[in-house]
Amino acid sequence: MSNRTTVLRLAMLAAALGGATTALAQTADRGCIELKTVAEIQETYIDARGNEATRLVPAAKVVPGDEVVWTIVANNVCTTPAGDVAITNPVPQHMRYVGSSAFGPGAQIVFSLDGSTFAAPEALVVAQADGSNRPARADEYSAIRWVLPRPMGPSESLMVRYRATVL
Amino acid sequence: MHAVGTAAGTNITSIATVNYSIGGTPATITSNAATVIVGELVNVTMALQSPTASVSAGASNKALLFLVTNTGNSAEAFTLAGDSVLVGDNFDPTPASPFIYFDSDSSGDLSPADTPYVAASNDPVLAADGSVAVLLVNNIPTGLPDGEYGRSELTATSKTGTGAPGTTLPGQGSGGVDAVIGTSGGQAAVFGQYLVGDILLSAVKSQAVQDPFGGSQPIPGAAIAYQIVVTATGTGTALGVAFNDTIPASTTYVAGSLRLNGAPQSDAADGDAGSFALGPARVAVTLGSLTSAAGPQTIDFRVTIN
Repeated sequence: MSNRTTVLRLAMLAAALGGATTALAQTADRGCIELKTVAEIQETYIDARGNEATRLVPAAKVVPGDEVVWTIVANNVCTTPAGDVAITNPVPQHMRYVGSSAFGPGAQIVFSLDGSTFAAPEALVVAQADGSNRPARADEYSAIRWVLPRPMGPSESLMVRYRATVL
Repeated sequence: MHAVGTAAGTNITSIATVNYSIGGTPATITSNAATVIVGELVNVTMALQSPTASVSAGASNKALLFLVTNTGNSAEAFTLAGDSVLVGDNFDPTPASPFIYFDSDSSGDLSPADTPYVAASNDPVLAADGSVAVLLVNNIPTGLPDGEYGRSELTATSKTGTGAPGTTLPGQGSGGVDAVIGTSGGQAAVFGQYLVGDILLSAVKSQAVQDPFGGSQPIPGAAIAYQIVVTATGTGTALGVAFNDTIPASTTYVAGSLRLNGAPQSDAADGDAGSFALGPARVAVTLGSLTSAAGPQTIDFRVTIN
């Protein structure tokens, strides 16, 4: 997929998910960023030309082994830029993170094994019985964090996404 | 795929958090709680536990052992059915009456303690990841030539439903959640086989004592060399032949002395046929399939008298 279509899809998704609540923005207790989490599953269907295609549909029901696509959308609903933006999402209970599935345009993605310290995948290690360390596996991650290295402008929205399997 | 997943009816919830700062003032906001509900996965696997059964023509009540496992995420009832009229074999075994038993005493074979299966009366209900050992019992027709195979198949079917993997059965799961048919289609079937043969195994054991003074007195410190010759006679194939011998009391196995047809066998249970184990001290040699054409199999090992 080209960057151009990615941006377009992000904008559409943001509009769909975030548009309805924008009116509540800017009250002090709700803050400047609205955050919404959506659970979807990828469904295969036959498009109008008879080709097989995929689309995301709401994850109404899942069973062990299913992959859920988690999408988190942040909207800056204030008129001032927001700095130091970091979105954190624990891998839900009963789920296992799918390796390399996290993405977020322009964001640095770091992971955590204990839910509190975050680092790039290559810096995460697990201590073994013999005292040595081995690289952590993706299925051991307990939380994901997307760090935006630049301020988030007024009305800007940021979408991040990852997939996890139902245990 | 391995068994048992998250229990049916579980809510999986995710809440994201965003940290940011406006004009240097930090703030934290949490998202809505997005929840998905885990439905019931209907899945079953079956494995044949017994090797091909060596039988003679006209034998009765010969059992094949199967293990049925519920690999779904909720308790599930199954119906069982047997079929001995299968393609791909040389003869059809005749179902005994009753045909299907639970291996109630875990003996691995038909025994008086085993409970017959009666459809709709004692259908097994398996917890998630639970399993049950089932025996399929057949009689072997008379007049069959050696070397012929007969197959018999066990089928376990989920009572919740069957269908193509991914099929949803709305509200059919435990507690009214949706049930989803897993990769098994809600059904598992496996066949076992009988092999007709008229083969007899014999084992002849001999010993030679050598005392430390060059004589043959069985005194402490003397060595005893044992030799066992296993011979298959008759027609057909004896399957899964295994030799086991306990080291006699008041003697000690001589490490590394086990041989099969003259070839040294390591004491470890590893790639070769022989092994030595403790508790009680014993030697074992796996001889596998034997025919009369294989000739005598000679096993040697030594002990010393304590």
